[in-house]
Formats: sequence, C-alpha cells, structure tokens
Amino acid sequence: MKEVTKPSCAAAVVGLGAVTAFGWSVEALRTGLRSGRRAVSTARQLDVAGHRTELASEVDDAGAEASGLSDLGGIARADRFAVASSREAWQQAFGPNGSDDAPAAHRIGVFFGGSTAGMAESEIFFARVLDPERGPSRLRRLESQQLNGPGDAVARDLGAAGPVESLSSACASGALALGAALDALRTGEIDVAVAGGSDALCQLTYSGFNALRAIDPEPSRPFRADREGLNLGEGAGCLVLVRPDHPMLEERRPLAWLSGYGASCDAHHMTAPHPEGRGAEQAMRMALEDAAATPADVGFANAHGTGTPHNDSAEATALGRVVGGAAVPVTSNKGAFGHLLGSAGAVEAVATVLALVDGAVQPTCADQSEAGPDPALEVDLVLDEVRSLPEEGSVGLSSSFAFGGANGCLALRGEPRR
Amino acid sequence: MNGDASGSDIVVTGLGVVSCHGCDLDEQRAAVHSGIPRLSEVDRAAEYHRAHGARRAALVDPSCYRSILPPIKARRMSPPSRFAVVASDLALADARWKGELIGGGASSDETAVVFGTSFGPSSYTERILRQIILESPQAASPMLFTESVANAPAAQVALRHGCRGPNLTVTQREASAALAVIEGVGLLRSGRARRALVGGVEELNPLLHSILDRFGALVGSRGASRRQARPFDVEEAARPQDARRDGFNAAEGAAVLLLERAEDAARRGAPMRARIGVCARAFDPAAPSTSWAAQPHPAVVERLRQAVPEADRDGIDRFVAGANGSVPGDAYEVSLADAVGVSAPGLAPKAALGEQGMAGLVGALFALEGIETARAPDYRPLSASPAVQASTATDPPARSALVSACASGGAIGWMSFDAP
Repeated sequence: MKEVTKPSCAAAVVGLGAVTAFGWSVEALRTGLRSGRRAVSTARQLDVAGHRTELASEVDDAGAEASGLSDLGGIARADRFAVASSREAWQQAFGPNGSDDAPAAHRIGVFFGGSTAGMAESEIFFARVLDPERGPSRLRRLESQQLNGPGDAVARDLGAAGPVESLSSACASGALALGAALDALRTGEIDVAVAGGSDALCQLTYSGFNALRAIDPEPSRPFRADREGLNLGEGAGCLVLVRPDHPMLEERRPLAWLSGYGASCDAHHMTAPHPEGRGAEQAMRMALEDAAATPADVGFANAHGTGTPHNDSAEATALGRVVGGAAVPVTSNKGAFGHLLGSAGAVEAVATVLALVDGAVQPTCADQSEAGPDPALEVDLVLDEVRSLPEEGSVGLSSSFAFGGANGCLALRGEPRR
Repeated sequence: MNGDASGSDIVVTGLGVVSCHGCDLDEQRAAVHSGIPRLSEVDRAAEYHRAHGARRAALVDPSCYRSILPPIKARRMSPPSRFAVVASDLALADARWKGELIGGGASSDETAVVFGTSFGPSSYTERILRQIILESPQAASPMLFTESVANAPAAQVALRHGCRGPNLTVTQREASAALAVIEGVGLLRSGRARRALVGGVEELNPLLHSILDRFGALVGSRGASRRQARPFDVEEAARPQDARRDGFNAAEGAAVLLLERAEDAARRGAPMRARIGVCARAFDPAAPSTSWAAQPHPAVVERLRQAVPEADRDGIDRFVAGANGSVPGDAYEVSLADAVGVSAPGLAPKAALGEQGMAGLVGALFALEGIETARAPDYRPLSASPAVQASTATDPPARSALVSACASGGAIGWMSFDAP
C-alpha cells in the first residue's frame, strides 16, 4: 500500500451532502453518476416554450419531505437545497445527535457559493408587481432574494457564529467558497468549515443562457465532437472540512483531503474564456502548487466541461499544458446533471471526493449512440462506465470557470483505500 | 503563489470613491465631515412606489465620472460596473500606481479583485425580467444578462486593468464591503496575491427603492416620519444612532481601496493611508433572515472578544459605525460593541453617504486624517454607549479606527485601520 503522509495545510473532508436531480442525498448522486445515467429531462417548473431547448436537470421537490425537511417551512428552494445538503454533511461528520468532537459555535465557519438564491421566488413577486391580476405581491417571497440567502440559512440551522461568507462569482462560486473555507481553516480562524454551494433554476438564467446561444437543445455532450452547449440544472453540494489536527481524526479517517486551491481571472472577455485557457491553466497550476503536488500526482480531472465549443476547447488546451495531453482521465459531471451554475463547483467537488473514495472516476455519460470525444481535443474522456483509478492517494483536480473570467480549481487528494 | 506574507503589514495606498457627492475625494471628505447627505428624488415613472412612502435616495450623478469613463466605454457596462471601474481608476491614481497592470506582465497575475455587493446590478436584472415577463422569455437580452451577474463589476475592473489574480465577489448585505476587504487582506497574507483592488459597490434602482420602502426600512417609509424635522433640514435625511431614528437612506456608489504589502509600497514610494489592523468575521445565528437579533448572541460576543483581544480593543480610538438609521440595526450594533468591550467615540459616515457597505471604509480612512463627522444639532444618542457619543474637533486624529459592519440576517465584519 502506498504510504500517504498526512499533507500539511490540507483540510480533511469528513462529511458530504448533496441535492441534485438524482435525489436528495449523496448516495443518490453516487448511484446516478456511476450508472452513467443523465438526470436531464423536459423542464416542468419553468415556461420553456419557444426556447431553443426544453431540457433541464430539476430537483424533485417531493424528495424534501422524505429528507425530513418539513421543519423548514416555506423557505426558498435554494435555501432548502443548501440546508438539506449541509445537514447530511454535518450528520456524517458529527453524527445525528452531535458528538463530543463538534466544535463550539464560534469556531464554525460557513462558506457558500451561489448565483441565483431566491430569484425564482422573486420572479413571481415581480410578475405580480407588473400585473396585479396575477395575485398579491407578498414581500415574504423576497426574504431570500439576496445571494447570501442559502449560506445564511445553513449558518442559522447549524447555529454557527464564526465567519459566514457567501460568494457570488457566477459558475466559479462553489469552488471559490471551498477555497475560502480552506484558507480560513489554515489560518486557524475556525476549526470546522461547512462549505458548498446552492442554486435553483429560474426564468432569468434559463432565458439568459438561451439568449447567449450557450444551450444545447439536446442532452449536453461535454468534450464530444458534436457538442453544442450546456444544459441547466439546480442543486446543492456541501462538504464539512476540519483542520488536520482535529481530534476526530485520531479515531477515524477522512474521506479525502482538500489539499489546495487556485484562483485566477482571465481578464479577457465577459463571457468567452481565454481561447488558450490561460486563466484556467493558471488556476490549475496554483491549485497543484498549493497542494504541494505535481502534475504527475494528478489521477484524474473533474472538468468544468460545460459542453460549449469554446469552454471545452480552452479547458482541454489548459489541461494538456498542465498534465500533458491525454495523460489523465477526464470526466465532466455536467454531462450527467447539467450545469448547476453557482453550486456546480461544490457538487462537483462532492463528486470528486466520491471518485477518490470509490477509487473510480464516474463516466461523463453512458449513451453509446453519440459521437465520441472531439479528436481535435487531446482529452482522455471517461465515457460509458466508471474507470478505475490506478494510484491510491492521487489527486483529483476539479475546475470551475465563470462569466467574467473568474476561475477556481480545487486539488482533492484521496486517502489510501483499505 | 507569492510566498507566505503572513508576517507582512498590509497597507492601504489608494482610495477611490463614487457617491452621491461625486468622485472627488475632497468632496467626500467635506460631506463625511458635515454629516449631510445629498438626496435626490427617485424616479417614480414605473409606478412601483406606494403613494405615501419614501421618495428620496443618495443617488450618483453619472456626469461626475464622464471624464473618467466616457459614454462610449460606459455603454457596455451596468451602472455598478461603471461605478466600480471609475472608483478603481481613482484608487490607482490616488496610489500613484505607475506599474503595468495591463498586459502580460507578471504583476497582473499577482493582482486580485475582491468586491462586496448586496444587490448586484439591480437595474439590469429588472430590465431583463421585464423583457421576460412582459414580452416573452425569448426576449431576454444577452448583453443585459451577462452584466446582471453579481460579479460583473469585479470582472469589468479586472478587464480594465488586466488583473489576473483571484477575482471574488462577496454578497453579505450590509457587511459585504467589509468582508470583501477582509477577504482581500487574507489573499495578500496567504501569498495568493501581492496586491488587491478591494471594496464595495451598490446600485439603487427605483424597483429596489420601492421594495425597501415596502419593507418599512427607509426614512419616509412611514408617511408620518416625513413630517418630522430632519437633520440639517434635508428632507428625509436619516438619523444614524439617534434615539429618534426612523430608517435609512438607500444609496448607491462604490469605494475601492488598493491594498499592498507594506514593503512593496515602501519600495515604490507609495503613499500609505492606513495599515490594516485586526480583522474579525462572525455571524449571529439568532438574527432573523431580514433583520437583526434583539440582543447579540453570546457566541458572537465570545468570537469577537477572541478575535479582537483586549489589548487591541484598548487601542481603538474611533468606532466607525455601520449605523444607518435603522431602528433594529443601529441598536444591535451598539449592543454588540458594548458587549465586546469596545469603548471609543463613534462616527456615522452613513449619515452623509447613505446605506452602502463601503461607507465605513471611507469613514475610517478619513478618521485617520483627523476628519470628524458632525452630528445634527439636535442629535440625541440612542444610549449612553461610547460608540454613539460623537468625537469632537478637540480629539486628536484617530490612531486606530474600527469599522463595524453588522448585516441584516446576521453576518458581521469588523476591521481596524491603523495610522500608517
């Protein structure tokens, strides 16, 4: 067994939570991703008639009851996803009734990313402002309109009194929130971080991405020769992180380590990535350096992989320069559950940890009838079925790139498998 | 990475402000010193507003920055992006920055941008929603969409100056700007950046103003309050920290600081406005989602007492309040200051600048210059706390000004600016 020394300055991942179109749990996410199924279907919540696509990856709200969330009342959907995922992660970390290892409230920090928060509820409010015949415009719909809604809901639910920070850098929000959590743990500002992201579908983003012609009318096909764009989705992902000297680690092994992260900005264009992936490359290299890792340590990449022609090309170029051509397997979860916008980086980080735990990279998609990987891209794309990870303790690189050129890349390292 | 700079002093070398008082720093100083806001009538043509609610706000006159950002450049940006770009230009000029931030130089990779905002680009969001709701979902404008995201201002500043380091946008309501600066300080101390443009930006459009009014949060939201005498005879002027306060003045604008390592600033002969002192972040889990807790939660007090040790608290000689005239918010803030043990006379820069998170940053830097904030002649402090007692012209210039930002919903950011 390869000896993996406990990395310095890394944070131990001790709890995971997720809400996606696959279901209201990490296990549902794991099962769905490993099967290669797509959780993308005709949108039910939104008026999609006339758009280029009618597809979305929607969370089934009926699952909330089954997840024991009836105590949350009428909070915004993005808040509900966030709290559900954080509760799941917290319970895995500290047990259903808390434990002696649970920290004091003022030593808990919450870092959440998102880009929509309660926009869907706000849209209903505004529609009624414009047309009162639709019904009363109740202010209560706006209580979680602002982007701090999901993170604050998590902090209130946990009783956290440490730093609470919501980051909104579009599609990089979740990754950057995890990075901010890592830094807060490293400085000793907190002992435990609850970090993640949450976003819910809304008309504004659905219409906006369609207006940009970034949407694929068919299920998205990241890195494929015939890719045309992305599918939109919603959900939340959460990780509980502790410092490497936390007492609980004397008794149990972490799921994985958040060893490093990198953040950069393309400073190139408001929507298009740098064509050579310059900013993406910078973020990836910074993540590896921060993790005291080398490109040879990278076992796989969980790509941003939106399925848009420009992103996938630029990202493939960047990956090639960092880890060398098709040297590592690459997957894109967006082929399975769509682009979760501000929560994408967090949910994909959960998926990356699952891959490290299982010792196997989930496939991008298992539909055999589609075009294969784009031959113009030097990418070893994981398709159809899971791919075993040869090296224990290897690094999974999870990347997120955003409007405005903001980039975030996480380096997660696995624990030796028993 | 730029090497561990945890032992380095972080300094403020540049300040740029866009507010209802224009773009000139002397105008901002005079305004903060006077404590008098410049309020304008909010456009009611869209018929969002109630008949008898608040009517005025601290709005930016775009003509104040036309020479810095001409219309041909501004047209591709949302209003908050314009404010942020102008404020960043002013901050770099104030810092006498002559280096190459634009282009492929190494320095651009080392420059971060971290902004805080409560609402993001609200007018562009409103316009695109009107397209979707009143025309059709397919009518959404792609240009409006890309500029409606909260991180658009930070992205535009990065584009303008070629800043390729970390680019973050913090969204924690009234605490956004302070938390953004604290996050920026962290990036420098960790070595993730060598310098950072940090600050806060807000846009106020008629829809947002009408919503705040419906929440009863503004001066004038309760019609009767408009008939009361206002400070300095300015119609609807707010009364921060006053026992008779009845709401805040909504506002828009931006403030940007340039943060650098002290040794870097010294090497290039840059002026130093302040050194960053303590930074503290906390959250009150007892706060309702849209307001403040009745009393600070003991865990919050414990956290801030640990984050700002007694020796540091004793050194603080100005408390730069986030108070804006909110009845529960101002009360909460002073209770928290008392509970933690901060005992310094207070400034309330939001009296002049209105509610925007960056006001505290500006007020603190001016306090280090010896600028005091006048109170209304009939000011009646809401309590006996030192934090609501005004400093006077006979007090020496501040040596350490603590900026307090307590957001509705619970987020808190405290940081001190110390004399350089």
